[in-house]
Amino acid sequence: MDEVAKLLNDLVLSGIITDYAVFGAVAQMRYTESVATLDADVLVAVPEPDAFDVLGPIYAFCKERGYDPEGESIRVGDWPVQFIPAFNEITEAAMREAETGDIDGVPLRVIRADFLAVIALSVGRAKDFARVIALRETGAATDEKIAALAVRYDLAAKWNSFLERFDEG
Amino acid sequence: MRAEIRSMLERQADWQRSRKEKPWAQKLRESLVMRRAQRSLRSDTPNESGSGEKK
Repeated sequence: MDEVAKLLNDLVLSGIITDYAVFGAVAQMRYTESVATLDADVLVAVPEPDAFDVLGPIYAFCKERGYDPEGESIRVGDWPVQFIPAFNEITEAAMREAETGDIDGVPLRVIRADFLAVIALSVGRAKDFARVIALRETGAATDEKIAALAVRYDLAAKWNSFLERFDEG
Repeated sequence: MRAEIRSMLERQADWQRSRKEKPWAQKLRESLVMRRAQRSLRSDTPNESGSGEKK
C-alpha cells in the first residue's frame, strides 16, 4: 500500500488531482480489524471536474509510471486501485476533512471513521451495516458523531432505522 | 438482553478494540493474505461436474 500512497501523493504534487482520500475497506482497516477486500477505493478531486474524460489524465499519469488498467481499476503492486471522483456532498466533505494516516512512513490521506460510517449508512448494503457496527465497536465512530453527520446530510431516518435494527442496548 | 449475549457482544467489542491498535499497514498486509487465501480456496473447489478440475 505504500506504493499506492506514493502514487497518490505524486498525483497531487503533479497537479493531476487536487485532493484525494482512501475510503471503503482500506480506510476501514485504519479503525478496525483486517477485512478481506478486492481493491482500494480512492475519492479524488480533479482541477476540471466537468471535463468529458475526468479520469483520463490520472490513467495517463499511471500509465507513464508503468501502472496499467485492470478492469475499472489501475493495478498498483498488490492493489487494484479504483479512482472515484467525489460524487456528492458527503463524499466531497469526507475528502476535504480527511486525516493523514501512515503507511510504513508514507503519508496516506484517509477519510474519518464517522464519515466512513455515514457513507456506509447511505449505501445500506449488508456489508455496509457490518462496517458501521465494526466502527462503533472500536469506538472510532461514536454514535454522537455519526448522528451529527446523519442530520447534516439528511440521513437521520437511515441512522434511526439502523439503530432500531442493530443497536444492542 | 440475555446476559450471555451481552457478554458475547462485549467480548467482540474488546477484540475489535485490541485489533484497532495494530498498525494500519500491518492490517492491510493481513488483508492481502486473506484475499490470497480466499482465491486459493476457490481454486481448490471442485466444479459442479465433480470432476475435481480447478475453476
